Amino acid sequence: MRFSMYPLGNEAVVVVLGETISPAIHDDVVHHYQMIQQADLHYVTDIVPTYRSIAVYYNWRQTDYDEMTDLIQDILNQDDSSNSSPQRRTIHLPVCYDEALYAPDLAQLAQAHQLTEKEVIERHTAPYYRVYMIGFLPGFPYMGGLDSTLETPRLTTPRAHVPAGSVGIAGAQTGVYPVDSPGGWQIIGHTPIQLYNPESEDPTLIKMGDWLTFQSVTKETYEAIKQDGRIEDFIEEG
Amino acid sequence: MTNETRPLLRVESAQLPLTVQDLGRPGYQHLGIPVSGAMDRYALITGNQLLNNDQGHAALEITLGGVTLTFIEEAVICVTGADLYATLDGEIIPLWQTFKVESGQTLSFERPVKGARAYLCVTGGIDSQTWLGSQSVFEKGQLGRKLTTGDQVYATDKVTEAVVEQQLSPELIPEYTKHMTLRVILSPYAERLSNESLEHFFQVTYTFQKGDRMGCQLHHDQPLIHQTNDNMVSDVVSFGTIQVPASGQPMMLLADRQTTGGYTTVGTVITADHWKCAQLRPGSTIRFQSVSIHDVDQLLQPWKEK
Repeated sequence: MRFSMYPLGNEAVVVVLGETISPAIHDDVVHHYQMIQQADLHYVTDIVPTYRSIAVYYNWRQTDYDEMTDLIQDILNQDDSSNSSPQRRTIHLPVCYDEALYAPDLAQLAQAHQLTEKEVIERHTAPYYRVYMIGFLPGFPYMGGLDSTLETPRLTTPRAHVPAGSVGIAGAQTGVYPVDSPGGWQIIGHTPIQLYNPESEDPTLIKMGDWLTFQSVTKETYEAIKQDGRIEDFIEEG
Repeated sequence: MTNETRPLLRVESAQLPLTVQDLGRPGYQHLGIPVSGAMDRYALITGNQLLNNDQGHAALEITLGGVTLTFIEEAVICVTGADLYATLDGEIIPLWQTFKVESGQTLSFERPVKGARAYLCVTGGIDSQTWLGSQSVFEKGQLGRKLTTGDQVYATDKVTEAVVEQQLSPELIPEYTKHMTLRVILSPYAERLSNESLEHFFQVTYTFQKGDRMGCQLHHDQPLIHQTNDNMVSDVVSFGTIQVPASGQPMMLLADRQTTGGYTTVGTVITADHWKCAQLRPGSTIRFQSVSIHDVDQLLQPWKEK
């Protein structure tokens, strides 16, 4: 496998596997991320994967860039045939696309693409989206796989307050806000599932490498899930 | 928080950001959760060391001033970092030195004289809720909030042998000058700027315009120019990473930064200069100096013992 490395200041080594967004490059990221994780290196504080790279943060008081790049090189050059069946986790996220309550931009978005709202929902719920990375906000998934007929620019004026759970579209991306935040995504629905719980040691539901689908639910189901839905019911391990 | 904690002080006024910070929460950046923690770690660690605390005990981070606190209990404290015209019952207090305060006394941080951020360290550390292994407040991630008028701040019940009038040797006290030179390790994406712009970046003097714990905006009359455009496929960013958006005016990311970013990056400030980034304020001027990762060990050596 070909990769390059560069120093992110004196606190991290970044392993670069490509320059673009592509499933093949991201497969490499997932694979190498797991290899580095499994090596359980000393002095490593964070391992952060992106679309196309992996940053390995280290304790600069105890080791340095040259030592880290040697170690990482050794790990990534190992012939790794053990990774034949990577885990694939799918999250089926229930979303209420009810316009009046949770989808302030749905009608306009449908109109802009000359689709009915029903068609927008069908096209949005059809794909399995790949979670390329988590960033921007705690637990915020950057996903690929949006139906190209739904691509829509960001709002010209971002909203000061987008509530946690909002599902949106921005350009060729779709995503869901795990926390309240300002934001310019076009909001077309809302999930009753809590995606972020800072009280938990495992604070974010969605992880890099997951697959995600949206499932359209009625207002009544939305409320029922909000009352006593269990996250595990929406996760498929395999 | 434990049941045995006791109220230490009350916030009488806080007009500018006042938060509890420790050394932050590494280990969660892959989930989009920044490390946070004290912006000026040197000041926090030194304050704790003078008090015989663990180096990462939580303290109050005071930004530029506008803060008045009244002690409910007597305590041994140490104020480090910026000179924010700190007074105890109207008398100027020594910085980088431990001393005792009595119940009922009022500690004020009035205005920035030198630097931007001061740390109020107390014997045993501040007690507050811990999230993901740290007490550091990060509002955007729903991890606590800024302190406001009427809030009470608690001390832990940890017993330490604090020594009054323990002070830092003067040569170890950093100088918060108006002008700072920040040493930078280049990013491979720096070549996305035109050659002239990259040279320009290291030659001119930038002015600090505004900033918060996430990052700060720098300015020079001649904007930097990208070879093609400012956007690249997101990569990881860190404390001290300098991004250049389409405006051509650099931004420097700090403790509460996002974990990834898609703007062109020029490089990242070395750890030995992070305290300088934390102490910049409106009107500060900055120059950048390029250093090699292979020379950085020598520059970090004095900091490794800290």
